[in-house]
Amino acid sequence: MRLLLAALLLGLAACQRQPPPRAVDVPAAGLQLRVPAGWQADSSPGSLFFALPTEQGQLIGRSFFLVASDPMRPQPSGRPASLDSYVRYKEEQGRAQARAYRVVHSERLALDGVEAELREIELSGQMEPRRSLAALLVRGHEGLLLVGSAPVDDFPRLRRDFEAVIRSLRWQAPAH
Amino acid sequence: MFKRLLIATALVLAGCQGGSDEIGSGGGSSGGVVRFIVLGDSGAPPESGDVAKIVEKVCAQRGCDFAVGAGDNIYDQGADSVDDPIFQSAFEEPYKNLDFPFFMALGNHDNSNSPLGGGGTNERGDHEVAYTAKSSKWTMPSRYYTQGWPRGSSKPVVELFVLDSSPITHFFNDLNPAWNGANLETYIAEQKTDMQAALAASKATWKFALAHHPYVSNGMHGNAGNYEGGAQPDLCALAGLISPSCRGADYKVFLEQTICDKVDVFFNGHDHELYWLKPVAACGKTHHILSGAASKHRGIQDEARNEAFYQVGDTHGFFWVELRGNRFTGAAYRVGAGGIATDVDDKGEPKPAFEMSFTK
Repeated sequence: MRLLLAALLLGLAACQRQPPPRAVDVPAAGLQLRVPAGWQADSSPGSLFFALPTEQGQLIGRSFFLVASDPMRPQPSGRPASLDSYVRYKEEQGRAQARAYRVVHSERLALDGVEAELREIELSGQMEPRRSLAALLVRGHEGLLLVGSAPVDDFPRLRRDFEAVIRSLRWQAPAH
Repeated sequence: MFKRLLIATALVLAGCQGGSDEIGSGGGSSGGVVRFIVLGDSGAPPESGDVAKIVEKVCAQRGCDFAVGAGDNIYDQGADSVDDPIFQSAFEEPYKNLDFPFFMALGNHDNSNSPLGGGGTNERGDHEVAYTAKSSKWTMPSRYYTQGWPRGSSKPVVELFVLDSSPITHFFNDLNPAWNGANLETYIAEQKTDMQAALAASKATWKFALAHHPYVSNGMHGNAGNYEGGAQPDLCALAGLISPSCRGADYKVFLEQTICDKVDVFFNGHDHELYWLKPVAACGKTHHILSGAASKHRGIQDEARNEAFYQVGDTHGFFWVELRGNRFTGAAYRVGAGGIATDVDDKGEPKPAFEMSFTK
């Protein structure tokens, strides 16, 4: 009982040290995310949003979270490409670029009402193996990728934050 | 159990020997002194062979532990496969008398499928990575990588941070989906964070970056952020139509976020002259040595664009570098047609056209 109480107090203390996530707008993608307060906003060529995860104020090396987009060709019917075709397209790209590529887990979920594919992927990076948690979705004629990536050893510590950021997505304008 | 312990101890000791400061190869440098050659844009025989003749003489005189290749290793459009005979003609044959590792970076021509060298076919660069397994000298373990020297040392004299600059600067969009859109942006983000982390973790006395594309240059291609600004024809005039990254603005920011002020010297090529340019404020303490004349040459376009310790155009050539404790010495050698040293001493041996040292 005493142990349980101590654990509860420690847990509460830990919670108090964690400031709440902060909201960040990603106007180029028409969305808002909530990211851990300590993460450092940064930039990277082409990315619509780019942030570096931290732990106790220190950057977790080689790790990042980004939002990027892919222009999608409409289908012959004129309809936007489907989520299935975008998922296939991204997987083909990944397999073509990485020497090793493995889908560890995949599931469908709704991000503020829009269907998305959540995928955990392991791949050979240029310098070391990486694991990524990615959400893929289609809005109009654009494929959207939200991905948190980290070296395999660091990924388990970051996975929960990556997923929380992805699930925090809120659209700022109605889907077109 | 005891046998296993013995084997493990032997393996550890063998590993320690690999990290010794004694460097024996290629000219007898030792005692923590490291010497190497800086070649760039070397992929056009037979001129590369002419330059190699003087490299051989300089290495015999002054010592060389390794060479670095600053990209455009194979003109005009890289290799068709890992078995392409062009690796023999463009690399193995010219450097057959040099017995040390060549740490190579990718250039735009290595990632192209036309003589224009537009850099829009990045998958071709992967053949040069794969060739590492087939050559005793060519070393490019991945498209970007780090390399310490002495090899295996936990506190090397020097660590090279070799960048893959072409995907950030190409002026032809890569039509391969694997190198386009979100995939390309993720690749660049990986490279950026990998390099930031590797630089932060490095215990090397000297830290050098190596990439094909320069941060500053007084040549035709010019400074990152304004590439091709004065070139005729200016292919970047079509930017937006063929590529948004042509001027190198993204690359400039990338360098400022990664290697600027973190490395002592940034070695590169792309322009076909020899430059040792002074540090510029936006890139901190970093010196800029451009060695892009190992098989091609061109004239300086604007010698006042960036302040130089040394600059020369219209000649083939290369740099030789020595690291002795906290002292860096760089020497520029010019090479004339047929592999004749332009500058010679009383004995007719090559002497540097320029030599300078600085300490840190």
